Amino acid sequence: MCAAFTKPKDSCPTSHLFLGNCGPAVGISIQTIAEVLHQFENVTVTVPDALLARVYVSFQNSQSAEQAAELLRRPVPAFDDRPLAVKYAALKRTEAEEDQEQQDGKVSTDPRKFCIPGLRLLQGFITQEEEQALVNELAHGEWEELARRRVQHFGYKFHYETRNVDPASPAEPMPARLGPILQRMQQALDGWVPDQLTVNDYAPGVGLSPHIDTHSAFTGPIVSLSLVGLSAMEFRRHGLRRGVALPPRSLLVMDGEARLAWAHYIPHRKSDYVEGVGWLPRTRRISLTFRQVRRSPCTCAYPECCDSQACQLPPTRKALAAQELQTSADAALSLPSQGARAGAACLEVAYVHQVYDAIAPHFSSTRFAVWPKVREFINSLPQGAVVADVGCGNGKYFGVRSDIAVLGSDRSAGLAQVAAQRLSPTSGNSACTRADVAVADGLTLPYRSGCLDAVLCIAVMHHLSTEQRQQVADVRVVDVFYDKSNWCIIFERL
Amino acid sequence: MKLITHNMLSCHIKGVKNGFPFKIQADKVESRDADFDPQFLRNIFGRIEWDALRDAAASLGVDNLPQTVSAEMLEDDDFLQAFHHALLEVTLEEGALICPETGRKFSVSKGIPNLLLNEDET
Repeated sequence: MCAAFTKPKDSCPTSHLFLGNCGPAVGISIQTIAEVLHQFENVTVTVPDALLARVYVSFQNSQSAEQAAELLRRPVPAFDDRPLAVKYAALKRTEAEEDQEQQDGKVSTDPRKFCIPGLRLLQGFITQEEEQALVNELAHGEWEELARRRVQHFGYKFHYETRNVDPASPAEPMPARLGPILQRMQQALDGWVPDQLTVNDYAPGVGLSPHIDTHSAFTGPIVSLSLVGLSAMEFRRHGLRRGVALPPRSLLVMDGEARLAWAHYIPHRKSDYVEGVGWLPRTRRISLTFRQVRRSPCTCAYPECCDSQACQLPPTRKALAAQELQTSADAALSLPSQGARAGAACLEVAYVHQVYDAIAPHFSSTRFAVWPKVREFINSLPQGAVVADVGCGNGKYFGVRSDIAVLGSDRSAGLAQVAAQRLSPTSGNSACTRADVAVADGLTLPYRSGCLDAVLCIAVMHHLSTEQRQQVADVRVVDVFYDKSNWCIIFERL
Repeated sequence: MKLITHNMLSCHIKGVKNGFPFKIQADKVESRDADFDPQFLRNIFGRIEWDALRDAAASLGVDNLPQTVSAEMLEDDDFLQAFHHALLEVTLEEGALICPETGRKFSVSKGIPNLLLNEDET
């Protein structure tokens, strides 16, 4: 019996192709198909029904399938140039596989069975008396109200806009009552000592969005002590979902891969299905998350998850809301009444400039990767070049070279201030001494004509609300060149 | 704001013919160390409007720049040091840039000039 195929769930290439208008039913033998595809290794041709004009071809990997699809979409002489319907196919899941998938939603009391490196759960880490005393003491602390839960910070305050701490400004020390617990923790974790504590108070049913704690913010493990009630926590990586039940008084230790590469998530739901126990209603849960502040960039082996390396932090809800505002501004512009110049300018003020002023510190913390093509362009400039960086944002291109001058400008005073931090030697990094910042509008560049070698205008045009305004910006940018045949770079990510 | 920036800025109000150079109102001036790189100074020299730099430096209290310059001076270390200091180290922290033609003031705050125009100026 041959393998059963089905349509894939999405349009991504798979390692199997469906070929319609092909096969023994229309006079194309399996042998002929195999010959046409002889350049690919380990090709298997499956004919589900000899009377139907369709076959499935399986390849070693999706890359081969992709190349084969390209080949087969062109006329093939061996098939008498017969036009084929070429689509990706997927193997039908067996019952056992479906079962396995359902495992994903379940919550286990023992994370050891998941074999996630670095993940441990220490049951009964504190006594009921210790738990009660802690809850009583925390009740008198000063809570900071977040959207759905409330928090207290000790050691260092955690800033949710940047998802980081400021190592230069310590906050209130941890409660003295934690002393014996911290000692036990130190013993259990090879001498590790946390210096930052965030207390979260979750009402019944409240969860936590999936996230990996900012790599650049903390070093070592992340440790969470649960009080009062049980909650499920799900660990996610590469499509895998592994649920762990966190009972009260247990200590969860996330270290290594579990801390650096697996996202953790508390589903927002009223009850959790715990293996071997059944449905458990969520009650209030207090968690104490212990962390150690990092003071140098992270160099872990997971650059794809690491904000010190290749990865940008995903946007916060606040940033997403700002994006939505922009989208609605775009929508407003496509109304028939569009075109009024003043109207367009107003929209930019309301939806672009004000938003950037408000989100500047956060926005900046998510934009530090230098686009490689832009770096290439900057490196191609002659020594001593004068470059305007129009819409410079946080000034991430200021320090690419020290032998050219970069005049940054941004329409947002908030972002200009963030960029200006790069100019002062107190910022911790070496200062960009050949750069400078002004608040100015890209539509009316404030430079004398002929003074610039190049203009960087990167990811700016999409902020201008009409095509006319974009064209005006292009022309004015060209005006200020030292040599009009010279350089300009306008990068937009499309 | 460094004086290299001042040397490139020009008043861009619609209709203004001679917007360069801005006059400077200096309320607070600072000096920040910058790496001394003679080659950078030689390369950038051709781009600098000398009279504007000299006058701007003087209005920030730096008056050791020569009246006139020539390319030979770029081999003289004392001159390069003075040029470097005026161009890259002296910064206007608080004050204003004043358009030479219209007298319009653009404020400079925390070292950042604000050159945004009003609607009727574009």
